[in-house]
Amino acid sequence: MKNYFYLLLFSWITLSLGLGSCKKQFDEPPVSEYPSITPNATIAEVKALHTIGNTADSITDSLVIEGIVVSSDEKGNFYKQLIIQDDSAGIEIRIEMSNLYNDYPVGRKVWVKCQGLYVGDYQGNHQLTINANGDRIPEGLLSKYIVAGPKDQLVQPKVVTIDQIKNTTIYRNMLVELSQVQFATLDTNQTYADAVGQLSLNRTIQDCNGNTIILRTSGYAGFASDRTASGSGIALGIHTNFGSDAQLYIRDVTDLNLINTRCSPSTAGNLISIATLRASTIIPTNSKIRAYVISDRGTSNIVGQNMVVMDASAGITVRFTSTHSFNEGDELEIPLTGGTISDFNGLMQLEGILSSNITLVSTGNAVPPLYTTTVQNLITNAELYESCLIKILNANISGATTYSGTLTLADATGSVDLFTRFDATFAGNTVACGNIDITGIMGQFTTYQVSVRDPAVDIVGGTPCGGGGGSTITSIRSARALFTGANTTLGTNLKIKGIVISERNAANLVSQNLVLQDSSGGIVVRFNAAHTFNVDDEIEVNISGATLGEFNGLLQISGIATTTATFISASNTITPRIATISQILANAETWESTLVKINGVNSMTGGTTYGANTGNITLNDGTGTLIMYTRSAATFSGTNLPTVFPVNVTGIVGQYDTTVPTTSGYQILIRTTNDIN
Amino acid sequence: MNKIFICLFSLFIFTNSYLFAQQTLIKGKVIDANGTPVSSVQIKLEESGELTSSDESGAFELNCSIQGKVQLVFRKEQWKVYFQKVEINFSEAEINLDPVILSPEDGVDQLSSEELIPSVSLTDAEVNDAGGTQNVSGILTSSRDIFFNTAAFAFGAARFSIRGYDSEYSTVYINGIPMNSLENGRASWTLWGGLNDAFRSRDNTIGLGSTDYTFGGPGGATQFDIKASSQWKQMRAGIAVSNRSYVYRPMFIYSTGLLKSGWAFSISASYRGAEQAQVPGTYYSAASYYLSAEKVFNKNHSLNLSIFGAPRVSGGRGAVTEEQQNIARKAYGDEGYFYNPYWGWQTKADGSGRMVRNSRYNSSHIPVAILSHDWNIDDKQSLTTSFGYQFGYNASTGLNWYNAADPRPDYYRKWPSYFDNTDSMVANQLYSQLIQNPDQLQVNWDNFYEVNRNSIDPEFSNSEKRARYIVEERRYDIQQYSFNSIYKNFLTDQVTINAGLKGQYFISRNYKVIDDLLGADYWVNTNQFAERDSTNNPNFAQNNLDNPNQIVKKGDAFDYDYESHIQNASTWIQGIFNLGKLELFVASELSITRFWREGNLRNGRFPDNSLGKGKEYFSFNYHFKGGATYKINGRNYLFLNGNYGNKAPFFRDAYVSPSYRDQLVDGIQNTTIYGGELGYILSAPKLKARVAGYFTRFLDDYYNKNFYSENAFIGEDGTGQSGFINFVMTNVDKQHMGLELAVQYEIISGLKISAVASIGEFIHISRPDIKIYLDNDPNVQVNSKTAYMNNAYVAGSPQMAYNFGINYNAPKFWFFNINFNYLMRNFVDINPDRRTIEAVSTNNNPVYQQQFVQPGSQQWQDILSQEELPHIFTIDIFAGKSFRIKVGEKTSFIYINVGVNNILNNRNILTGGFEQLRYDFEGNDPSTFPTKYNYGLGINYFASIVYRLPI
Repeated sequence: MKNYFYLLLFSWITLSLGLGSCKKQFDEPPVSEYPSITPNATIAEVKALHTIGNTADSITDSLVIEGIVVSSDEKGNFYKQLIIQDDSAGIEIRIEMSNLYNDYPVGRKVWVKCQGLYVGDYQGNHQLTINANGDRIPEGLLSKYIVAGPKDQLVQPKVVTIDQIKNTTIYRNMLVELSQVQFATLDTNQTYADAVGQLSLNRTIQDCNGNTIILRTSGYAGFASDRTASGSGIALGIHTNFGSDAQLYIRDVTDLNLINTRCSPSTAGNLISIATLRASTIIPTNSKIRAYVISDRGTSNIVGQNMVVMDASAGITVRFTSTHSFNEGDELEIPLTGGTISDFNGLMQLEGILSSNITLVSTGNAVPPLYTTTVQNLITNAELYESCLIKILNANISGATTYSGTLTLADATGSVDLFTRFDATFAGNTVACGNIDITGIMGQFTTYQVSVRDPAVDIVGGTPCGGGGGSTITSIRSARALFTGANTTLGTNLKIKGIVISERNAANLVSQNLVLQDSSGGIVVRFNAAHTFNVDDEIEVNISGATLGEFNGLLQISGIATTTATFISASNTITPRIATISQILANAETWESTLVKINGVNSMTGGTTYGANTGNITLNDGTGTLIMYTRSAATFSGTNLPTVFPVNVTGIVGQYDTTVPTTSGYQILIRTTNDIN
Repeated sequence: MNKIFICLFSLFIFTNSYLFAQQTLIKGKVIDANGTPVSSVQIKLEESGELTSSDESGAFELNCSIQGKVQLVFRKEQWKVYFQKVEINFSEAEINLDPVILSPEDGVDQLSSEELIPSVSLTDAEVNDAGGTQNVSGILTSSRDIFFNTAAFAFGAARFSIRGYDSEYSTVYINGIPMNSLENGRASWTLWGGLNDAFRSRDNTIGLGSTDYTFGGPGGATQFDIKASSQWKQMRAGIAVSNRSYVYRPMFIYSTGLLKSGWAFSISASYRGAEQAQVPGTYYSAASYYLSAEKVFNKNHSLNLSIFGAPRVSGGRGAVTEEQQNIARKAYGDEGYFYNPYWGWQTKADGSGRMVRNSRYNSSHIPVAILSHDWNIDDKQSLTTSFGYQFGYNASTGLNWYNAADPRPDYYRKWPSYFDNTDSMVANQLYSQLIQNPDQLQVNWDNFYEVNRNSIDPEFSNSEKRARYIVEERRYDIQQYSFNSIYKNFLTDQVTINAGLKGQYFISRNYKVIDDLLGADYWVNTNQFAERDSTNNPNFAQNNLDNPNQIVKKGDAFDYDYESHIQNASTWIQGIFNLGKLELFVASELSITRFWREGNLRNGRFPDNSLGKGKEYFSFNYHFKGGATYKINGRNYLFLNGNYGNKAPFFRDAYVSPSYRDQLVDGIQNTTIYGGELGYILSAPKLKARVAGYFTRFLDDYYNKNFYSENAFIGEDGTGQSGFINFVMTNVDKQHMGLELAVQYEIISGLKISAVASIGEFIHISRPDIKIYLDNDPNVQVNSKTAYMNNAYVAGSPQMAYNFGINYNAPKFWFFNINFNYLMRNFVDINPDRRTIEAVSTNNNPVYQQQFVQPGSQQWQDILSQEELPHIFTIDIFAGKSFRIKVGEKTSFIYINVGVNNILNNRNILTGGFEQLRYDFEGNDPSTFPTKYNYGLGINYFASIVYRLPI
């Protein structure tokens, strides 16, 4: 019986305990009630504490603002930021937290306890931050500054026009609604951003009056690879500025409702001629010009921010704040509002035009020269012909064998400068000799000058200049510029001239090599055999047909015989550039193969002799460290390094980097131990 | 049936069956320390099972038909069990033993391991691990060796493990069935947690000595005998209270002993529970049950069935950084010493208050059934055959989230140090905010519900809510079939043969289930990291290609789902040769292992090798060991043992990422193990001492971790890209060597002092090869590099430990002991990736010296040096008393025991630490992801009262 009693006891205990050892079950908590706080300031009042452009201002009063969330990072077009607005204004709050939409969805009311925060601006948009540097509010401090209230509050977007947005700052960081807008023709059916490269892109939105605004989208946005619609309709978005550029950020593509047929925009304003524009001291209000692009950004014989346009009356150079993308032959309608006329070394320029405001009317037009004239006539009427496409017949070019720089264009009546930018794609091309017809843009850089867009098209006749050319030499810098990134075979009739800065007798470089420097730069010349040029010799080297290539990052000219070099004179001097190690490292690619002098080297580590540590001794001048490389074959290899510091070190900037891209491994090579004192 | 086994055995073992009808009579007397005879002592001849008991005068007689060295076991209630070895030679018909002196049971033997091990180790092991790992110190508690006793009782404060070995190197048997998991080699002691009474009878071998039931691991072996006939005939019930992992524990056992009918029964149950013990948020609820029935058919045959299980749920405690603990202490005061980032507040459904909820519940229930047959074939031979079956689950919960901010309060960007470099004022402000708002240090459950309730994803549903935050449960369902036969043969006077044959089949299913949708309606079965990695291929992120964008709800399986199948068969044989003063043994084990992965889902990253049965891995392994013991005289012994062998890789280490694909780690191979030990034992009546030196090497081991890295690989744009990576290390060589010293002296009767020292050095002796695979990309093996880890310390245990103890057993059944413990040279677990060229270079392809962190600089030191944890000094006391009570005709007993550990209340005990596996390669700054530490308990107690009624 007793046994049964125990068994019962056991069963009871097991049963009750077995039931007990379950996982805890948790009921759902009740829906929380939201707090309610009475604000004591408007967003506009807080924004007023800060003047755009100034350092961020600390908010010392206990100001509480109330706003509704209008931004959303759900699709990734906003990142670690919250934009709230009240009736008065909108403001961005920078927060060190992602996926804010979970806690602060669009329409949620929030109160911001501003005391302790900073109000500043980024590119003209007010923001609340944790410090004067504009850093984001840490997640752990959110509960201190932000109180979240009820959700699904109605946000009424500000219904505005593009014009209104541009003319005032009050809509910045607000949800705005634009009606009757569409993507600019070139921006339809394009991706919103570069999802692959994860880069932001600008697309232009225009209204039917031709006013434009940038729609900027992050490459991280979930809809970055979606394509823009071609219809017109309504656009919702947060308006911000980037400096002077007005832009719009959408939360999701659903913010755009472009289902109507497109309108055909025409730029508002009165059409005036370029001649009228040139004659005006003040740009006429509400006016525009319509003209063809005559410059070619493709050949780079014009700086990237500039273009030259011409209508039937005249031409003008337009200068933007950044690189533009208009091509030769584009027909443009350019609203002049906001533009100014300036003078740049005698050249009239139209500035202050936003490229986004320009309407592309047509593309691929062939624009004939406005004037066909003589050189004498060209100079006489230079101001009239400025920035026009002109043509001169029966002319010839002299002064150099390649186009780079200032050459002379002459005909029977006189001569004028023919200028080609160093960066032009054809700068190294051989000049056409003999009788030619030439088309170019009339320009001025103190003196008058003509520039061609592309000699292959703009110059007709002549033959390539052969032989000769001994009197003109390509600068080492322009020779270096011919390097395409891979081994490059140089053209004909190329010469460089410079002073040898390497010392062959000390054998700190191989016997075929020398380093040549002129006033523009330096380069390694590698002959097919040992050469006999000494340090400080001035020599001229015909590098026609040579190979321009990199050896572990070091640019060199190779594949030429020693006979291609001619001795000119001895005992010339190149004064080393005095620089710190950090400067050398920062400019190493430009200063490569030139002579530098580091004053005040404090230490040499890695070994006690030249050539120790497989040649690599580390120099330190307090600004950085640099390897001083010595070949084991160098005559001074193995001799003791200085023991008393500081010392000054003169040497040639070199590079040895076995991995592409070759952006490291910079070195200095001394010629002899006399380089250290 | 039995014939089949014999046939099986004859394939492997030379069976001998010649019999001698000779025997020797052993005579003796049992007395206590005062010379008073002790009656009714049960005396058992271990080798043959022969039983007798002492009479009123303490005298006994026993027939022995085995020649050689045999062992007598003396058992009586209330008295310590006593073992005596006797040399039998049939040339003597009778042996008269010296009087056997029994001493009364002291308090220590009244309690079993769990109560005595300082709580820290057990708490951490139980709470942090879902039963997967286990502290080995539990193995050692019943050892009668002073060194191992002390190591077990006194060195637990920092998870001391003997000789620094992983627990996989110690084998555990219950009724003849091996309990080490085939998947990772470890025996999970939580399977029988709480069944202390039923698991009282155990036998340990430490080190490389011989055992008669298994070949044994390099770390030794333990066997439990939980057969009903082995349980004391008693009813015993008790209750304990503690502030360690649980708060209260009732425990009950009832054993009939061997009834006249030949049956024996034993049942036991216990429960351990706590809403919260010392560490906040660590809910604990663990039950356990045990039943055993045995039928002794005759002298030769008995059959036993034992079933036990221990359903368990507990809340986890997370490791924290020093900064986090400092802030928690400011925020919480003293309780901050036990800061646990895993729990948080959740408002009750009726809004009436808040309750504590842990995000990491570990639960398990793996019942085990063992049927065993003991066959005493004749006087010299015996065969024990067992079948085991176990099935059940291990599970642990955790937070998961989709397109939502990281919900873990210990996420590094939520702490002031993250802002130290940008603006120290901001860091200070955050510091103040955290200490004034301690809720921010915990999980914010209410917010998860708030977010989920408002989460509509129109891509899937306009009314149902898509979960942003969930609690998921990682499930691990196992089944294991085991068969084992152990054969013993006392072949001749000088030679004993032991042998065994074992077969096991293990199957586990590994998958995740939705545990709680936290107010939402569904979760989508995609991999959000893969979603981010490839936006072009919509299939890529699918976890189940055959059911794309699968909607999963509470209780549904998701993410990954695969099975591991492991089969193992082994046989071993051992010969013991008794040559007078010298005893030698040699043993060898041969085994074959076969395993494969079977995927239940075809996922988008690995459509070709995620579903179905994978390629089999096959391994053949051997292990040899041998040793000698030289008896200088009856009190002085020398021993020398050695081993050489190898083991197959464990399933868990062998695959790059078994969750998602069938791909073996490149270069996986057997791990070679060899070593030796040399020692001296002094066993005088008042003075006992033991000195041993050991040396072991583990070569070609491996290491396999899966974690999220900020810069897992270099993207096309040259910048570091984050992602989940599989970090695999091969060619990991380790060397463990050291000295063990122990001495115990009995000053006066009942008063003993002891001193113990364990002086070890556990280091890496190779530069392992690191291979990094991208979890989400089938093609990319991101990186291959060398870890400069030579001489790095093996983490996980103090390498040096010292103890001084005083133990007093008073005459009137009370006892007191005090231990002074000093633990040192415990090192943090290093991140191998921080010992690479890449970790100290400032450039992706360093060539020049300036592209490296300046050697010898502070930064260099910070990156490369291995931190030693602070030394630990603790004082533990333990005391108890027992009472006799007459109930009717019977005497019953009440025992009261109280233990207080860490009496100095040192709350800054670091039991372990690890460098985070993430590393700031761009800034070469180890402090971006600082070391995390496991903090131990402060002063803690255990008290119990037990009532025992012999029946």
